[in-house]
Amino acid sequence: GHSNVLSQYAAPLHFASGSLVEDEKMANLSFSDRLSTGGQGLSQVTPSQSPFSVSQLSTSIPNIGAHVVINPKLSALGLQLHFQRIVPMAMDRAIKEIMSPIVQRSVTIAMQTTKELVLKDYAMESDESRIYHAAHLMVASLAGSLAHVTCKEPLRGSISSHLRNLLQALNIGSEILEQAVLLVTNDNLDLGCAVIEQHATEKALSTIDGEISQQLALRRKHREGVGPTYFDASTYTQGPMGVVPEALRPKPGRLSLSQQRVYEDFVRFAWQNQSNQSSNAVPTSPLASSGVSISSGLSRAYGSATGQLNQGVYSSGQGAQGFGTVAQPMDLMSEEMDPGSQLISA
Amino acid sequence: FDGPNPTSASANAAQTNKDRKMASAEQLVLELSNPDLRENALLDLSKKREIFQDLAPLLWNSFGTIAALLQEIVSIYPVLSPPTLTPGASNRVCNALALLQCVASHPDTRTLFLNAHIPLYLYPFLNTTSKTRPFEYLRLTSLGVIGALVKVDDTEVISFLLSTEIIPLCLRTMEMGSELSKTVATFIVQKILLDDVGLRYICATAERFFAVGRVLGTMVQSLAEQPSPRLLKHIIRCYLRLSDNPRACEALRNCLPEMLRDSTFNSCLRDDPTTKRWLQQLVHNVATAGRVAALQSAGGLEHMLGGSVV
Repeated sequence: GHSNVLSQYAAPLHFASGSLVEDEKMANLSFSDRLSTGGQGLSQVTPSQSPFSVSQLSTSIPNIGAHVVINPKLSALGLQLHFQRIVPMAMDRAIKEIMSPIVQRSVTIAMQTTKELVLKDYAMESDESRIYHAAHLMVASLAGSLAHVTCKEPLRGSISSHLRNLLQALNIGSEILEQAVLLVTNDNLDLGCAVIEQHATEKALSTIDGEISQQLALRRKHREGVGPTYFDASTYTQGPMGVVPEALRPKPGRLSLSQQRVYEDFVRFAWQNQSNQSSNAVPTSPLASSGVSISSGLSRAYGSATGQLNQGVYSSGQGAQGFGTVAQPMDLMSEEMDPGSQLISA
Repeated sequence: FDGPNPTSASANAAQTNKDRKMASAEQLVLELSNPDLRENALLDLSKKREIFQDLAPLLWNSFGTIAALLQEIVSIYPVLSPPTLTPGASNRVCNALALLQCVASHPDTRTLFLNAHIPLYLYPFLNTTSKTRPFEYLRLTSLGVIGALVKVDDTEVISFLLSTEIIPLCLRTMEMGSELSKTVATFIVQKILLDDVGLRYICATAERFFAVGRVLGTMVQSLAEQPSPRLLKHIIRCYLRLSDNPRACEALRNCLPEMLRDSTFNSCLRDDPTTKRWLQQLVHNVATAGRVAALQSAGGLEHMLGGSVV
């Protein structure tokens, strides 16, 4: 549920330094502060903002059991049957746990990029279906790619921990258990990433039209008002297009073949289409895994982009929310730290 | 128009030269949208980006160029983890990043660049941990783009970056990067702190303040073994700026590294009077905060104990 999502993102800090106790204390203080004020600027996952409900998700991860990989090595350990039952459950839980904020963030970013770039590049295009087509190709690729690259490490951790939890009842020796968890996680990580990528792609495709249609309607109106002179050369030699030489400009009417091809090429970058992925990747080094925990810890401290991007990067509301709760935690901190005040209370 | 007199001839030659340069820039930008010619065009353009005037508006306003550069970026996401980025692929994407840096630096394109959220596509690069050269180079070049954005002291830029989790990414590089990427990352944090919005943001919670303070402290420690005057300079400027915030200044009484108060870095700062002055000011600020706090708590004690102060 949501508490899982939160706890995943609020994973314990594993900083290298020895000042952990203090960190935990501070973390607790400001975390409870966040909960009590509901300040969105600081919390990374605000469930109410998520476009997905958990029940929706469970119906939309189609039959993951049919796709999971159960490594034959596990039968040598005598664990194959257990894993056939447990792995789909662990995958399902892990994906649900981390998917929503990552998909939301990726889609938000990809939509904004696509809207800005497609409307710019297709400023002279009168055939709106071409504009929508280019926007679909771009937003699907960008949202999917961002979601995939962002989810990989968190998903790795989440799958492993769900596997461990589900295996606990079996009383397997911890060394064998860890081996099995590592094996299964690596075998199925790409599957999980693909599911999340797919969700981001679909979500982006279902939202982008609404995002650009308003702009296109304005353009249509303008064109109808101005009449045929809309495409008059003077219209697009003025303004920023003025600096762009003829050959590089978007032209009224048809684009050149190589120009069209740029947007068509976004199809090549759909991650799922890439065949050369290694799915048997082993976590590279202890450094990599500690890096992950640093990042999730810091993300917790700073809040992920999710909530803030949703509200518009430049909105003043965000500033007010983010900074509104300033005084309290800092006050708590100085009380904690000030030896004088401890003396007084002693 | 071929003027007969020599002055005008040389002026014409200069003009022709400039035109030829621009023509070749245009040709190269055109080639960027062709996947077969792109790699070479990226290399050529990024090498010559200083000599082409107003390359940034050309990159931004020409059809499909930014889209093509974005494709270059997302196309290497699959080799980030497990880390299999080759030197060749790293060079290629870094050339694309160099062009984006050009767009990030130019006053006419900076806001458009932010508005399209392009910096966010670089964040997965900053999140990598591999210490191999292709990755170091990738992180350094990505930080260069962010560095170009913050260089101009624009609150709009700072607000954008703060809203997108840039601080934890910078802190990460400051912890594990090479000396050069540590310096760029610290420079970015310094520029963010120098903005009032940035200082408020970082001092908004104890968690944020200590996350920054801890990483700065760790870097100071490692500088004692491997001195780097330029990195030390940015670290000291960060601390000094933090000390402008009263609560942060008070917290620094306890967490400012001892090495900054003793003579550890005297020789490192010998040739840098500005940084030496910053350090003196920092130590002074923190000591003053200490005195004020001591006075206050003494006053408190006096009150509590009914005037019988030691």
